[in-house]
Amino acid sequence: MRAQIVAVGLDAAARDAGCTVLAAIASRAQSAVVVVEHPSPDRSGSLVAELRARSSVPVVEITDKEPVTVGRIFVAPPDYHVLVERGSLALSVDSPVGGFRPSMEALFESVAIAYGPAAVGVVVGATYRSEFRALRRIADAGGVALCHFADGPPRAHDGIGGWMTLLELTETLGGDPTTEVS
Amino acid sequence: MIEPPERAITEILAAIYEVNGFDARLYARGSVTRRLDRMAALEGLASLAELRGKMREDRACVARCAAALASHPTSMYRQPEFFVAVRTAVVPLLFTYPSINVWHIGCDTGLEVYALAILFREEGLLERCRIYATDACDDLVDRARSGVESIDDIVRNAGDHRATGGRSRLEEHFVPSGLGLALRPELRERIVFAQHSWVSDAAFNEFQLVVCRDVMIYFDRPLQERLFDVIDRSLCRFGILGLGRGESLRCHPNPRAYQDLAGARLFRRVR
Repeated sequence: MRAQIVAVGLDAAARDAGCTVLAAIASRAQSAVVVVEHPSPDRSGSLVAELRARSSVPVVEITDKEPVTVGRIFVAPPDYHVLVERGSLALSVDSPVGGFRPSMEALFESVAIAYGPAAVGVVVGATYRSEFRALRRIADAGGVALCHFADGPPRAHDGIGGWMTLLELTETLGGDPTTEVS
Repeated sequence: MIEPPERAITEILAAIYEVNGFDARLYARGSVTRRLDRMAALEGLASLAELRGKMREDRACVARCAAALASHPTSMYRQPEFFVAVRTAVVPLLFTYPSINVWHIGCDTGLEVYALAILFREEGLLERCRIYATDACDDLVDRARSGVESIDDIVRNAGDHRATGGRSRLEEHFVPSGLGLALRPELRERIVFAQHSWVSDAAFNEFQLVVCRDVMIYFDRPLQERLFDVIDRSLCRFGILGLGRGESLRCHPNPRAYQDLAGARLFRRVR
């Protein structure tokens, strides 16, 4: 099934690599891209600014009930969870999950429920077990789950099915496989 | 494939409404799902279906779930830029009124209302203000009304208070009360805490300022539209509406009735 939405969890320490990956995905994918960063309180909105500088598609700080629109990057506002619903993005200020708000776990779990096999999950940078578990929910729901470590090539994570490389991902998203990503 | 937990949730929300009178059927599903998942875990259950089963036999469990869905997390100076904008852009406008009614919707335990009252006092506006702080949940309103906070809960906000332009020492607005701190009587008497459900109760006053931050995000679009309608019937012309940073007038039936005031999600009603 073709991806309709790509959920990206970005480790703040890997922001540079993350922005490259995000820009690459967003320019190729016929889908919406939603991103949360750990740890967040990015009050200045610097992630939005950095993505705007490096991406060819519109970059939006999410407000509640934001329609899921193809060809845009949606960034979580500081201190809000992003919960994907069918066709729109909702926000919540419930307690941090595993110390994070916004939380990758909350994003991945909600996108797995809302989009199932039409969802793609990507983690960029060093992450923790709980985030892998949440990413796996996307794979369990029939979607594509992918992890990209900032310090090396894209690679599969042991024990989790449904992985592919970034290259395969862009092919899945209808992109040009000859263009190098990362 | 993950089975979307739709059916169990629909049944749980219906049961809460039937037993408890609390209607979360038009709440945003994403948040409801997460909160009920958490409740199931706290109750030692493996699934929402099991939670549904327990609720059939245990009315106290229904009440706990209702309380979990009703709460809005709050703190004194969430999104400090909002308070800065209130101080610089809203206070001068409010000064043009001889008396000022403020409605704080979804006050939860009241901390944010205290912050607003302290700000008005610092700006010399408090004497002409009455702040109506409401929440749909009885327990929360009782808690807010009692007004006793732990010393830690107040002291750790001192830095945020200064960052929002506070010119006084935060502690000077409180007096000792039991083991904690209570808002000084001259501030406290300006606040009316009341249980009020805007879903079922009528608009009850005319207001110059309505603060409703991060309440709507928990609702689906039809319920947001209803809340905007209640706000429209309550806010005077040229009155000001304050929303949360992640909120907008997207679901307002007539967003052009409002103008952006100072960024920071403050809007002035112009028609």
